Amino acid sequence: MNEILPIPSPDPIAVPGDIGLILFLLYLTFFIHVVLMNVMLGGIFLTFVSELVSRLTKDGAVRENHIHLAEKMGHILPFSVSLTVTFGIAPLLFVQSIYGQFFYTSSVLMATIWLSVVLLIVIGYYSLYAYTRGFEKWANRRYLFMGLSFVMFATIAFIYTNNLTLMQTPQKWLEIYTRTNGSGWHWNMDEATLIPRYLHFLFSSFAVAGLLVTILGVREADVNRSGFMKKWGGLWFVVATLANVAVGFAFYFAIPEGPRAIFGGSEHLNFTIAHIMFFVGLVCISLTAFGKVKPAVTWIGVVATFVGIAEKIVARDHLRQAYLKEVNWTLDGLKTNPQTDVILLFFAFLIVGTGAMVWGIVKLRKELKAHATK
Amino acid sequence: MLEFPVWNVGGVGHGWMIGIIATLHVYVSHFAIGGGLFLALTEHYAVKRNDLPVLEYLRGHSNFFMLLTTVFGAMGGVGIWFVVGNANPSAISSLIHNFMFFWAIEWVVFLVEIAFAFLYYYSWGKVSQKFHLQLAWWYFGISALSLVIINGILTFMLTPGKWIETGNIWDAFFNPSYFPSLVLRMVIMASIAGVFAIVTSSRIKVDELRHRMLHYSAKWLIPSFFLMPFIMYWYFTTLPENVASLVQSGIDNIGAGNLSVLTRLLLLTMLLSVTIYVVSLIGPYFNPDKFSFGFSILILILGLVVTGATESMREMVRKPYVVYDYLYSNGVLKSVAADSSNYGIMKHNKWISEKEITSTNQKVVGEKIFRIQCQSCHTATGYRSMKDLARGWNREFIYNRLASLTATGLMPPFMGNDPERRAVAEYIGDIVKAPPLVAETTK
Repeated sequence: MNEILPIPSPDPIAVPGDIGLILFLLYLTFFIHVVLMNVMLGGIFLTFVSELVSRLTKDGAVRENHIHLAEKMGHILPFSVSLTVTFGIAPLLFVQSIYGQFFYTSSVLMATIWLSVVLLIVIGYYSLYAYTRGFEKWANRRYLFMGLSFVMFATIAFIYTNNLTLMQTPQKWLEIYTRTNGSGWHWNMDEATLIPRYLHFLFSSFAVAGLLVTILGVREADVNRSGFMKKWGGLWFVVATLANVAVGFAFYFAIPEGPRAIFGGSEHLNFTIAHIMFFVGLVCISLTAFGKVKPAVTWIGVVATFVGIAEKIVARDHLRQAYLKEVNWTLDGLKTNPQTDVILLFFAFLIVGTGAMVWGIVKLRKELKAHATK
Repeated sequence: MLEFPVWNVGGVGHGWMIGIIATLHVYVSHFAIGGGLFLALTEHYAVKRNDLPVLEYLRGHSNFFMLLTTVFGAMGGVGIWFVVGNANPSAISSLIHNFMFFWAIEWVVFLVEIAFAFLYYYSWGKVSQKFHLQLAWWYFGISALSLVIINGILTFMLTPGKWIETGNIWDAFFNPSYFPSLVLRMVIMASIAGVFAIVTSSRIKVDELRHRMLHYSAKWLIPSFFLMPFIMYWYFTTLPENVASLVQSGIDNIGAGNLSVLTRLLLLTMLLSVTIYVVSLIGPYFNPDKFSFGFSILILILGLVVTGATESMREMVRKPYVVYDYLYSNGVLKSVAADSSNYGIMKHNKWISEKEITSTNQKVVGEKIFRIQCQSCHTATGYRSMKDLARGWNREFIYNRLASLTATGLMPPFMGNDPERRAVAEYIGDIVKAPPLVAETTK
């Protein structure tokens, strides 16, 4: 352990599972969280844009299409918040068991800001409910709720980017603690990767939300609305993905040379596959939006994009490990003492719990159909 | 030792920061479970009697229930996690390293619970009554299961039991106070469900239905009224000897007129609980026609205050530990503090930039050591302040007192060496405006 830097010692209680297993669970749950978060954050932004367009346009058909889309998204978004938050809990748990020494420290250094996340989520979440519940009643003002919600969640994303960049740079900690006198009021603004990293996530959310709108378009029965959603969603996907190429370069070159070297070495294949996948996604979704293709092409694009995101999530963690290697910390230093029986119980709960949810949803669909035909 | 930086929240103190969020969360999360039973049982009777007005009321009540528990309740849980992580990272780290997979199980249960809350609420009037009722029971069963899991972690903090020796996770989970605490919380949940139902019932516009539902909702407080004394007694029998005698002294002090903080909290809890029962009996139970929304809010607030008081007591009887007999409130392991060769905060702590104490930096370093050693429970001039607690003390007395903190039974040992103790004494001496010592204070 580095003696000069104020890195806390690992917890005296060993990590209660195999590191590989915990990393797998971390990647899996974080992947689901990221996809849901992208749907939520990007979805809120796209809905806000639809609200603005519907107010500014003089074209009645365009207005109708945007209002229809906004209403549809309004029903999806509160669920996406709940799922995003719930699927955020698991990776936060797994990350703390492995990187706790770093994560807790950076959280304390910006504790006041970090804690505000909870309040911001509550405000953003209730704003979405206010939007959906008051869609007719507050038709003239409802866009304000969506705008407020976007500001809340975009701020939360920024706070997360601050904390997760700060946790991997212990070199800065003591100076921050001394300067702020432990007030927990620190933004990691001098971090070179902060803004490109944040924009990378933000643009990804616009792209994934565009993907969702495209999928909704593919599944929409009304031909006009279907065409509009495919084009509108596809456009967001393509533009945001292309913008992310530029931001990605800025992010890449902002990473210090040491950690960055992994992309030319151990991460090279992973990174290359991710970008091939995004390219495939880009082509397929472009064809869906601006051409006439079978739904299978859209689904290939969706799957390719998701594989690309999964690859990036693994790369993101490997980059974190490369950062921490700079301060002589590696996973090998962690003691483990697997609680095999509790781990098996967890998987049993996971299987039974998933089964219960599937049962509930399948039965509900049957019941809805039966009830509707009565 | 004392590995993490310390969040400086000024006069509010870590206790209040955690206390406010924990109280709100505990109140709403107990409602999330008890309210599930209320919805299922009430719907069961309403369906059986084909009581359409009650079903309509339940639909509205479940809307309030869903909006409160899935947003505010759920986020409160995250809030506790965040605030404890900020205020006492060593404690949360210990709990996560010990219980990570139990927490992961809790997460799965919570996910299913949220899913069923949505399935239940959004299927009102769209599915058969039989299936809707099934969903209600599923929701309640799953939410109760979430208590079965989290209760093991919560009770572990006060009664880690055999885990201290064995290190076995099952000893930690099924610790001595696990079962009484589980039953205690179940009974409290029913009461909290009743309190929230009184609030929503008081808003019903149709007189007959409002009176009926108020009367019915008040009944949900009755089980706890009769069962609480017995369950509390059972609970106390499982507490460590020191904790039990601390609580006993709190009770004895009531008669002696010696109002310690614990005694005051005990009194507050008992008096307010009785008030809630009495108001609920006189109001919604016997006189629902005269009961107003304003009174229901009063009961709701009293319930919140009782929750806050009991949470404070839970934290207070655990002192000086955060995990009893294992980890002190300030994040120091008992085993580390037991070895005097570990003493010397500046030698170990990596967050004090000064390398040695000099006459010029003594008070600055004293403040930094105070923050590390004491600030998990105390502040300079705010919550549990030195200004009040050390009022009238001179610097020498403070210096000596720091050497015997454990004698109070409520504080961990002072982990500093002699010059560090002197530095903290000088810092506290300045807070209470004690006159400076004539000699030897700044060697």
